[in-house]
Amino acid sequence: MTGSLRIDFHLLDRQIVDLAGAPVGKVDDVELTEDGFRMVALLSGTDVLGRRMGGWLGRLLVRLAGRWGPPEPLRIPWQFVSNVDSAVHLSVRREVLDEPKLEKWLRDNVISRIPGAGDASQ
Amino acid sequence: MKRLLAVTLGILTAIGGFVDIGDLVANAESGARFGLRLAWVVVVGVVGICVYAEMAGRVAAVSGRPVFDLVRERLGPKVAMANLAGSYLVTLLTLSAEIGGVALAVELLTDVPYLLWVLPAGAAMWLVLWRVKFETMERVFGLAGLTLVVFLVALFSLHPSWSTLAGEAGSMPAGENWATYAFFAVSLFAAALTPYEVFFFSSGGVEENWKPKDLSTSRANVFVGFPLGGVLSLAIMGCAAVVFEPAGVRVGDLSQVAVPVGQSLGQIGLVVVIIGFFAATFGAALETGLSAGYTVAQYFGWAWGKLVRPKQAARFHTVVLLSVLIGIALLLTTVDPVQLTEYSLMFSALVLPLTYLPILVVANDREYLGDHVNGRFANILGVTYLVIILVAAVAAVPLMIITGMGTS
Amino acid sequence: MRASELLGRTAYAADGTPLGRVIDLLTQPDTDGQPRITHVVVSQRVRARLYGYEREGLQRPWVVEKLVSLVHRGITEVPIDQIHWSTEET
Repeated sequence: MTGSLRIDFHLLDRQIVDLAGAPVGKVDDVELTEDGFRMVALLSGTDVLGRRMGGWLGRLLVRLAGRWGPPEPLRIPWQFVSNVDSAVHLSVRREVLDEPKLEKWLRDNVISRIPGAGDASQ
Repeated sequence: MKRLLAVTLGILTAIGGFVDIGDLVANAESGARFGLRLAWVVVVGVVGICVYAEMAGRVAAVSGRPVFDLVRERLGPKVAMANLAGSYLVTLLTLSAEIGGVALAVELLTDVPYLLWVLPAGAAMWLVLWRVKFETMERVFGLAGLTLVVFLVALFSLHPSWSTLAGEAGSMPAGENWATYAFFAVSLFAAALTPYEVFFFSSGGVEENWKPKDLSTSRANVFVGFPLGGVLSLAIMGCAAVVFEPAGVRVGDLSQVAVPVGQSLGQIGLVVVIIGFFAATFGAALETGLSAGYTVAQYFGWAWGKLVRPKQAARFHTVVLLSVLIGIALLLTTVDPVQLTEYSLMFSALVLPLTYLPILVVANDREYLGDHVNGRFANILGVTYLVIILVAAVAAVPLMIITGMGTS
Repeated sequence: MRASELLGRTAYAADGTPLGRVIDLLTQPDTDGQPRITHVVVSQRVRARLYGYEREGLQRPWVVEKLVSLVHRGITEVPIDQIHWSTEET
């Protein structure tokens, strides 16, 4: 792992990509130990982002995130992070992580219904 | 031919920036009202977009990150959300207008009213986005849009008196004033630098998997594509200047834009120009459709793009589909497509500073670009243009109000 | 605890004087590789992330640098064990 890291500058709002370079999400917040001294995991999700942003915009995001039941933020333990440069690179493929609910719902109910959705890359 | 194919991304991006439906009419309108007095604005715009697209392309090639990633990363989520809202709105309005433009082009050819073509045009363009490979799409519409070079041919066939046109430089035409002149100048400048151009170009570069070794390809795309777009813009302006200005006729719709070509090159010229209109507006619709998806997906960190199966990027494709549907719906309210772009243009002037500042900052960041950071020259140009962009952003809305969108 | 709960808060010295708002948290890898927060970056004025302040090896356009240095005056890094999160001593 790289040496000195700044949580706000190097991590927050940076793109997370998996082992294959596929986007996983943004670092919307960072989980620390209870005493606040050590970094434990990256957190990603609209609910997480909304809580961090605060204000009317943040509350709106939290409400949107909760529309389809309790939100399940994506939690990526620090051990999965291999490198931080212009993006946060993980040492695992995204299939190992939970799939965001909205993506799953839209995939199953909208996109999959359109012919050609599963075709090889275009 | 192979070299030409390598720069089609730049050409297609430039089409959306210089000869989309809004520009087709705006360039002709400025030519009709101001002769060539506003030609310098197009040149300034071309240089500006070249400077920033080169930076955006470099960031995409070296770090693999598209522009909107940088916007959220550097400006923070709240300011970036303001940018997202503004950029998305502008892109959506433009997308709607382009679909309208395609419908208008077909109306020119068939005499069937454009409203009937709105739904087919929107469906066709979405289908292309859904099924056609990015590279194929880029090549077909990039090259097809170049048929607009017929304006250049027409311009020279009209035998313009260059000395008369140049001699107009110091004066203001009758019926115009500094406010309308400034309004058109800001419009043309904002058109050359609309944010969706850099969103599309940098995302396209990431889709094409550019690596540091592709820097020369990225640069070739920029320095061939955008100047070409500028030349086409100027040709349209020049044709309108020669044909309409002496008669004091104002240009208001697409059919008028084609008149100079019909006049000098006859029926064949007209057919070619309509094909050019169709290709350019279709290409611009593709560009804005994808950009609508890119901005939202890249803000939230979702998978995006055509290089992954649609099933792997469901949220991105949903945004694109929804945007096309909203665009079609907007047109069916019978709002004039050209007016749509005029409004979106002025609002885009407000969003410009928030888009281009992060690009300039990241292009100087060694942690991002290593040795490929900006040189002195790029920074001087970058900062200069940022200042011009700020001036345009501040002047945009007052000018809109004072001149009533350029009418008086 | 989340990082967002610390960022933006006012940090105080042991004697209760306010040091400024927390704008960043510096970490170093611990003996087991887990990053540990060692310093807190505080600012007396507004926070802006654009540059990353005093990182090494940055080049910046002269004009932007001057603007940024105007905005970024009063930034200091304070070791985390010297920070108190409220005016009461813990």
